Amino acid sequence: MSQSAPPASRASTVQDRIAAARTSLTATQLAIGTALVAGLLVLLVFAGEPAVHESLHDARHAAGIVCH
Amino acid sequence: MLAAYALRGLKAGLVAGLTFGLFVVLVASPLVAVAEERAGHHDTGGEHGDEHAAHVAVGPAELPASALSTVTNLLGGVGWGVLLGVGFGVAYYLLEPAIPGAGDSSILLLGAAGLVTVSGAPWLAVPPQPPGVEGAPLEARGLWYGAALLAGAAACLLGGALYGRLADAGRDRRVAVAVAALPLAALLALPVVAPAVGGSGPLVAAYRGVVLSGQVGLWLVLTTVFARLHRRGLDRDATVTAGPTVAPSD
Repeated sequence: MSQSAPPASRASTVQDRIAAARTSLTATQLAIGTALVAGLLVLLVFAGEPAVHESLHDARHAAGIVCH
Repeated sequence: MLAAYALRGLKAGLVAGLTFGLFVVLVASPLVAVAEERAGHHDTGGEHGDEHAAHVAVGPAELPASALSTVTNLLGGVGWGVLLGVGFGVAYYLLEPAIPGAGDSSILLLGAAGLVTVSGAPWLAVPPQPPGVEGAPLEARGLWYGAALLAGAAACLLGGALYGRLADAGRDRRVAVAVAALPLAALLALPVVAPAVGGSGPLVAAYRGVVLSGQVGLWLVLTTVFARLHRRGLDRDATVTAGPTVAPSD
C-alpha cells in the first residue's frame, strides 16, 4: 500500500484518481462503504414505513428532504 | 487512498452530524411542532388529517414517545451528516485534481458545490415545507427533488470543468469565473419549470430560513473538520514516506 501510495496521492487528473481507486480498494472496504451509504439512504430518504418515517420526521424536515 | 479520504469524510460527517442532530432536536423539532399545531387548527380532514390524528393520539403516552423521537431524530441528524460526509470524502478524492484552488479552499469550494447539489438546487424546485402545507403529491415532489439534485450536480461539474478549461487556456480569472457561473445561473430556471409551491406567510418563511441555516451550518462544520483531518493526514503521509528513505541508510 505504502509503495504505491505516493504517486496515487499526487495523481494529477481525475482519471488517475478513478484508476487508483479501482486498484487500491479492497472488496471489504467497498462492501462496507456501499452498505453504509445504501443503508443510510434507505433509512433517511426512501423508507416509507410509518414507524421509521415518524421517528425520523423532524430530522427529515430539518434537512429539507421531501416529507409529507 | 480512497479509503483514507472516505474515512476522513466519515469522521467529519460524524462531527457535523452530531451538531446537526442537536440543531434538529433543539431548534427544528420545536418549530415543526409549532407548524404541526397550527396545521392541526387550520387543516380539518384532508390528506394530512390521519397523520395529525396520530400525533394527537400520542396524548397519554406523550412523554416517553417524545423522548424516543428526540433520540431517533438526533440519530437521524447524525446519519444525515455521516451520509454527506462519506459522499463528500469520496467526491473530494475523485475530483481533487480538477477543483480550482488547493488545500482548504478547494475543500470549501467542493463543500459549497455539495450544498448546492444536495440542498440548494432541489430547494429551488421543491422548497422545504413545514408540515401541513399543501403542495404537489409526495411522489411528484420526490421525483423533482431527485431531478433537481442531478441538475445541480451537473451544473457544478460543468461549471468546474469550464473554469478549468479557461484557466488552463490562460484566460483572465474573472472571465473564467463568470463563464463557470453560467450553468449555476441556469439552475434558477428550476422554480419556473417545477410544479407550483404552496405555502406562504411568516411561519413558512421562518421555517425555510431555519432549514437553510441548518444545512449551511452542517456543510461548514463538515468542510472545516474535513480540512483539518485532511491536513493532518497529509502531514502524516509526508512523515511516513520520508521515514523509509531515512531508515535504509543505517
